[in-house]
Amino acid sequence: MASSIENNNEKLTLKSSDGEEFLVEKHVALQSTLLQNMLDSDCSSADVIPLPKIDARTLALVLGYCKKHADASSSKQGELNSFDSEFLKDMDMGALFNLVLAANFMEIKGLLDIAAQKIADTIKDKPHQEVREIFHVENDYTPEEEAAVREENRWAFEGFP
Amino acid sequence: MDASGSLPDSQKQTKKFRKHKKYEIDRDIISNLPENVLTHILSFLPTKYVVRTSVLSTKWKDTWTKVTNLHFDDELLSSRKNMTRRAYFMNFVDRVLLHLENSKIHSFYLSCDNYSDASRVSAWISAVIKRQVQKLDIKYRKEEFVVPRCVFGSDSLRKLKLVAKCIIKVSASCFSRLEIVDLSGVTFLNTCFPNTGEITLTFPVLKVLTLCSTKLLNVKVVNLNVPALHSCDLNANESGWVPDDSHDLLIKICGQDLKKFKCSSSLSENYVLDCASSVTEVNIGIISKVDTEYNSQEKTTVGLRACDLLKMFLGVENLTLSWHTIEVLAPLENLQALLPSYGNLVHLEFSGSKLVFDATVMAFLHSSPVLETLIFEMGCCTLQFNKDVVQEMVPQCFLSHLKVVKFVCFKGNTRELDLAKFLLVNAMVLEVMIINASSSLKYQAETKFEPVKKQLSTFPKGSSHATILFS
Repeated sequence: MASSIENNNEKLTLKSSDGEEFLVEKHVALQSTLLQNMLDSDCSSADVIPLPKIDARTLALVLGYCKKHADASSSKQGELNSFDSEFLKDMDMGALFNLVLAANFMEIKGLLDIAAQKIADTIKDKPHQEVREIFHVENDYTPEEEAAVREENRWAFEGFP
Repeated sequence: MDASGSLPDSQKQTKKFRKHKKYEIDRDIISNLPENVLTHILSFLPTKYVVRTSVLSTKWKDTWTKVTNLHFDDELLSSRKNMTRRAYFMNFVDRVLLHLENSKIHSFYLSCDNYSDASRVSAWISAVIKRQVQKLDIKYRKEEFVVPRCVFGSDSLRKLKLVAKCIIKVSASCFSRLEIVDLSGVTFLNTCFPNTGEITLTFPVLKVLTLCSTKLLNVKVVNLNVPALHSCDLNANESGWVPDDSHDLLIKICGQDLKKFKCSSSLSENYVLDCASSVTEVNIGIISKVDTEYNSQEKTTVGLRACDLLKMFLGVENLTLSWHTIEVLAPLENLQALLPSYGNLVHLEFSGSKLVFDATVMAFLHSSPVLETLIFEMGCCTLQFNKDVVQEMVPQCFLSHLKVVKFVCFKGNTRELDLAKFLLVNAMVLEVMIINASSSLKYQAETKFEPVKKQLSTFPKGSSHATILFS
């Protein structure tokens, strides 16, 4: 374990679901708890680590985030915060979902939080009809069932149009 | 692809992909997310919106019952009928707590100044403590209530924030897992040791402690056992810690890890910090007592207490003093002899609304031989610059260390210019003087700011490479 971490210039290779390989500096990879655990165990850095659930586009985004956070010292919190909000700005929902899933899989807490927060902000303050539209959620309730659920949770809908 | 050398590349790609329409969604992804991801997303929403997702589709019917972060704010409640809001809100919180599927609750935020009552708030706190809540954040200032005992016996609670008129009955208390405590308006009532008036609060893993407008009843001595405490912010309001000022209070802080100490108080109490010399960041803001004119003896007492407090921080690197702190220290004769030499102090800041630059400020400069940065926040009142200091010996730091002087809210009047001149002339290794102009000075750019800039540039400089920056 110690021997693999001692050398800061070591790199490892990550392979996306669509077969693209990314050479990543170890300190950048350590932003991911998943990779950290793999490196802590006997996984050799010579191996290619496959990430079968993450496509190359998403992985490039994830690694951009990790690199920024790995390189910035903790004193630059303000700078990181503005990087974070800029990072997700204008990102469409599909990319955001891929990102949240990748962050969950790779266990990158900070990225998971900002992506989840961004999706949550989209839901907030919107009537459920609009939420359904944005997220393509098909309403499979019958009108009677929907009315029943609404009635059951009536206390959550008070004051709702 | 080499990520180390190719970051600009991947950034380029990022931009390209964001324009890529392929990523626009055309199917329902959110309903099929893994449960932990979906509940994580929902945990960022006020609970009201989380419950409302139940009508989206059959898959969503019970999704909301799996969240573990609860957020209730009665300002988010809207109802056509004012009269029934209170009942709705209380009913809402009750129902959510009843329906939750998970046996554990991670965090509980409750802000209910408008529509709740004390007994219910107290019951909710007990309910979430039983479900091993880790973060408890309550804002309720309407009525007094006693904090349930179970809060202090909890072995799950890590973070406690109370903005409430609540009473904490102190027995021999050990708050075993608390890491962050932030209390505002809370009263500690000593029920166990009324004779000695001495209470001991032990927080084995506490890192951050903030006490604001705290009251102590039947308490003469507080022992804070805080071996892991990193940052301590004590903010007493004008009326002090102890009601009616019946006696002097002693606050003893035992903690080897303390790095930041901030205290805002009228100093009707004494402090003992066994760890003061390890503190690197100190902020002392003495405030005047409400409706009281100090007589000269009281003034001296407060001055001596302030001095005793400041004397403890031998290792301070970063010191902030309010103008009123300077004022209460001013009557002390020979302050400089009383102060230690702050051998690590590199950053000194005077803040507040009315600064008097006199022998007291000079005493601090004389006690700071390695000072590098000096900041004056000029506030809204006029600076008083006592020109006698010009005759005094120049502080050591002026000759060897002082590199940066900054004025915040510089108004450009004569006294400020005199002070700036004094510093420019005498700071022999000064690199930069930063002038942050007040908005009125900036507003009068042509008529006032420009002449001020011109005048500043004509002052002689002790350091040949000193520049003046305006911001």
